Amino acid sequence: MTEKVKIAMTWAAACGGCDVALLDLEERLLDLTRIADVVYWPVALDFKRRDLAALPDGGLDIGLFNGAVRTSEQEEDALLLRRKAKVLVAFGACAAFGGVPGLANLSDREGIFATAYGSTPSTENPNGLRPEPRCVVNGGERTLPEFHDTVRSLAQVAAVDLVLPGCPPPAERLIDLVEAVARFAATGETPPCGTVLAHDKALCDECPRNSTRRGGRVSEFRRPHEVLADPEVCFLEQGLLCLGIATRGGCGLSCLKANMPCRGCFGPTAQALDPAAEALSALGSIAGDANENDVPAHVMKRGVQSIRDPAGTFYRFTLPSACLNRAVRDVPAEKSP
Amino acid sequence: MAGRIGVFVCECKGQVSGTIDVARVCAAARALPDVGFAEQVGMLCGEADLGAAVRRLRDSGSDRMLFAGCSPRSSLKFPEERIARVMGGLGQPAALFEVANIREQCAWQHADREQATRKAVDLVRMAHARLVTLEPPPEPVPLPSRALVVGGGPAGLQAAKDLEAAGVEVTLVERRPWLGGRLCQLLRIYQSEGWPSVCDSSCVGPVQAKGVMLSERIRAYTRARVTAVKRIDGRFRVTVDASPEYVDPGLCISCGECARVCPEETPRLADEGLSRRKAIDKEFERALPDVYSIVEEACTRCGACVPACPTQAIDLSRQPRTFTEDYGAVFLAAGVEALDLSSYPQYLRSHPNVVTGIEFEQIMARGFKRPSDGRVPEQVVFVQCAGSRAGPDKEVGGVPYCSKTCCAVTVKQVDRMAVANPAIEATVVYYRDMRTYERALESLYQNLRNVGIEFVNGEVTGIEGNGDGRLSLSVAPCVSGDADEEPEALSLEADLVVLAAAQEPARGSAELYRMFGVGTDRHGFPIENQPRLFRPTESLVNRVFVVGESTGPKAVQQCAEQGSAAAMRALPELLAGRALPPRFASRVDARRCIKCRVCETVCPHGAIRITEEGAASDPAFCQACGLCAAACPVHAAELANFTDRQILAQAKVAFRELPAGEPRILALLCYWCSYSAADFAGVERVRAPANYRVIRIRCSSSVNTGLVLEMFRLGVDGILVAGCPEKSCHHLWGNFLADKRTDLARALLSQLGVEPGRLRFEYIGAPMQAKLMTALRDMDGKLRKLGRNPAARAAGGA
Ligand SMILES: Cc1cc2nc3c(=O)[nH]c(=O)nc-3n(C[C@H](O)[C@H](O)[C@H](O)COP(=O)(O)OP(=O)(O)OC[C@H]3O[C@@H](n4cnc5c(N)ncnc54)[C@H](O)[C@@H]3O)c2cc1C
Ligand code: SF4
Repeated sequence: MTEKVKIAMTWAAACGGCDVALLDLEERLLDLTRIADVVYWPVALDFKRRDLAALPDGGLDIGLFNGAVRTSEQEEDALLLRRKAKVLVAFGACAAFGGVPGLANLSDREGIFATAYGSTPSTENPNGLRPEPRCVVNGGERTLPEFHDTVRSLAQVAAVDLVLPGCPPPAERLIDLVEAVARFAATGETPPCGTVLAHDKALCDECPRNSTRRGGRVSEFRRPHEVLADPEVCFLEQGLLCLGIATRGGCGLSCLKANMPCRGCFGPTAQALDPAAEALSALGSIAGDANENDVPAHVMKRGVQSIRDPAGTFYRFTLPSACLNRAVRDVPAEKSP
Repeated sequence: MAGRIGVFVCECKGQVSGTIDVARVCAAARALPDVGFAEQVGMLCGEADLGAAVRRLRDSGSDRMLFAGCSPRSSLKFPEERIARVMGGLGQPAALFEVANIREQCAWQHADREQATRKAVDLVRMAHARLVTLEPPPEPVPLPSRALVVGGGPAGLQAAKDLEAAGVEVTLVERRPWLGGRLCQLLRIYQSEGWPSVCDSSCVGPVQAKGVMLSERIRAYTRARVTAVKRIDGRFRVTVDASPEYVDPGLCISCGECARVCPEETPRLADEGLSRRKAIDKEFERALPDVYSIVEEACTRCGACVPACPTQAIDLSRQPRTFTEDYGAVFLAAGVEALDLSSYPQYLRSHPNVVTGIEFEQIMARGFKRPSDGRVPEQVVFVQCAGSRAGPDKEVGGVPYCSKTCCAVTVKQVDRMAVANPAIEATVVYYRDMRTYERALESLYQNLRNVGIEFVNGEVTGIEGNGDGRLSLSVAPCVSGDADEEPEALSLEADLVVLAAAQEPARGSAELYRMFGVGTDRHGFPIENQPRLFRPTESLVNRVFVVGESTGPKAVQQCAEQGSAAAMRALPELLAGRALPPRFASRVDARRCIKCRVCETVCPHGAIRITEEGAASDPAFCQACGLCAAACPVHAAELANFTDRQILAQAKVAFRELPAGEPRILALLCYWCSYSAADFAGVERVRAPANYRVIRIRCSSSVNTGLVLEMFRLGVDGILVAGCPEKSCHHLWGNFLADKRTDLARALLSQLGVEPGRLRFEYIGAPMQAKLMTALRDMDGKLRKLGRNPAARAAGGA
């Protein structure tokens, strides 16, 4: 190795968990610093954006981007990082697929502002003030980043080389990342664009509970707080909606180990046509007892009706990257914008 | 594959060309990739045109044909079956053709020449999109020419004998010690049609069983059962456990010396425990196999019988026999059994003089001696529907269905009793009606009434013992619509009561059906394949036949008919020693499979097996419904010739010719019912909106939600999924699954602000073209108001 790899991490619409995940590497973080110099990481170290901007284009080796893209500033950051980095990494579910912030796409800017600055019980805003991209304060113009209508994943803004899914990415996968960085440092080899640092198969395949799956229908889906789940038995067998059937494996099974069903933070497998549809098809098919020919229609549909909030359930981490990536208003054509 | 497709666009002598500009369709076809030629023909179904077409295909070296003309499904002259034959004759794989249905679903539905022609061009493009990716049909799967029959009653024996007569090897597994089933427990057997007459079981029982025993091609095992079944490569790998052959059948002369010295007794099965037999004994004199048998649980191994045997036939050290063998077809003939009425205290089943019909057969055989004291009764009351036809109007519970044979059986028994012992008085209490629907039995019934046998309409709601073996019965009137006549409750005296007990699936048969993957209805009877009208005895699993009373109570003759019918259905594959998998057979990519078992759960045909490597679909069991493919969360399961890619390829080109602004409606119609409905609309010349296109899918549940969303993204404005009517799906529950999933997808779409009316599911049977048209017109109207599908707008779709 001749020179240390230059690495940067920035965050966008995110909770901060991804940055913490990096710190959670503990002493293994030192492995990273042995091969890499962190040249920009605003959350952890005192850097300013101008430090990043000052690098020549392509002067950064690895750019880690966590969070979804919701504001104009985040978009600029994404494009800046893309310009500077040889390898751009979508770090965590939000950057990879839009993540939980992406569920904001069920609403829009106006809807969100109306709630946040108007109708929540704790809002005290008698003048109805809203954040404005531009305003004049004491004669001087102040600007704020623009708040977009639609949350996007990183890939929808800039070409992504490596995808590191997870909410947040688990240590095992971060080690993969470190290895990829090391490989890059040693050989200059970059992975094919869009490579996902996770398993190809869905989680079910590696789940220790898989062997307890008996097949058979799920009469009704119940929510985790309604059931004292058996820690060994497949969640589907227990009537709990688990997305392990349609979510990439490689997460380290942390939810399952905590006796919680998979919620899908590793995103869809490569074959999925849509991040929600596959799980919806599978679970919709086994929902309800196998007695359809003998019961009235409303009983027949009970199983599938027990799946509440399909968008929130199946798109929890992925709405921005779905076939239809945001709520629309399906109104007569002439009235729609 | 350049230029290997031959296209024929049929004018249908004006039926098509009257509305559609056939030349333009031809020109459009010619421009498609790999098309060698596209020709206009007058009537391809006519011998002259067909002959010329075949020559044209052969001379041009074409290996695929695209036919644009009448419906592949509904055409009476040139349906897909005939096309397949023609292609077969060409020496080309018969699967490699596609039909653009431009007659029934286009020319006959649309009046406007321009619109119809545009649609026809799109239909040709859609057919072409499939045709270029079609795979040749799968190879035949070899099968053993050997059959397994489970249950040695009249149905099983008949199947075994017919199969063996045709040259098939048969293994017959019967759990009781004799062959002949329940027939052997009946005294006289009524014959149901023609004039009233009876057969004698001590005659016909052995006659039937003898045929089986003497055949070299049939191996019959009594006191045997099936313990494991694997369905592999179209065959059944079955393990059978037969109890030890303590008595050598080659040596036993049925002299009975062993039974005479045997000190242990046990209830006799053949008379339902009315008498006792020795631990080593024969169940009844005329039983076949003609061998004494040992009841394992009763035998103490004292060894007394061994030296008593004059032929040294007994060896108590013999071990159970277990063998595993492959079979090409299986016949389940487990019959029915009387519902256990002891859980209905009203019937006082614990009283010795309250017996079931089958027990009464044995009592008749013994001179009518009643069980409590062996006296001949003076007054016998027959109680119909004991545990049958339970419902809100009936006081005593049970199964809700009619057990079908019992009214006839009672009429027979009353008649036999009147003939044999006229001194005994008989009263029949029937619930609502006597159901002797066969000609012979109805006339017998009328005779009995004429000679003064008392038939009382009512429900027996309680039986009490009066001491001295006598009984009294409370009879509640049946609720009748006749207000003038106030029916009264009454009480009857009897010294023997015969319960016409409800019949339910034989005990243990649930496990039997489960092992073979055969679905059962809510009463536990195996389900026959759809349409049941024309596929009687076929279970939902290929080559598993369910015969005789196993599917519901029947008379002996009907059981025999079913045994024969099923044998006939099975013979073509058994004799050929191979099964032909469907050209749409499913397959599972083990590299993707995660063993979530969703495919196995939804497969109605038992075609999915879970192996170490993952799920495996057996093409010889697959019935190509596509339920697995649509439900698989990782797209590991797919149907050959019906892949996601193929469906999307069709959707992509479906609306090329539709003028901008016209709503694009895609109808995904199930292969049989709903697709036919679209044809029938044409047959009836119903005018339909010209902006809908049909993709003929497999079962309505063969398309997953991902594909539906993707179609929206591609710019389709509205999607109608339609399947067979409720309770009539060819794949048991496919239509219901599609309905449910569509609901869920609609909920998802409406959360995303998409008008749920853009996606709908309908149950549409073949003759329900009106419903189909209403749905299409309704969608068309709505979509015209709604405009472009916002998913396409959002995604920037074309
Ligand atoms: C009281 C009474 C009187 C009747 N009288 C007449 C009549 O006069 N005329 C008429 O036409 N019909 C009559 N019937 C109907 C007649 O009994 C049936 O039609 C006939 O016996 C049915 O034949 P089967 O082969 O379907 O079943 P069964 O005769 O019941 O034979 C089924 C066989 O399968 C065996 N079996 C069950 N489960 C298993 C298993 N898991 N493994 C191995 N073997 C198994 C059983 O031991 C049995 O031998 C009468 C029925 C009753 C109850
Ligand atoms: S056949 Fe007669 S006795 Fe038997 S259930 Fe039907 S109606 Fe009742």
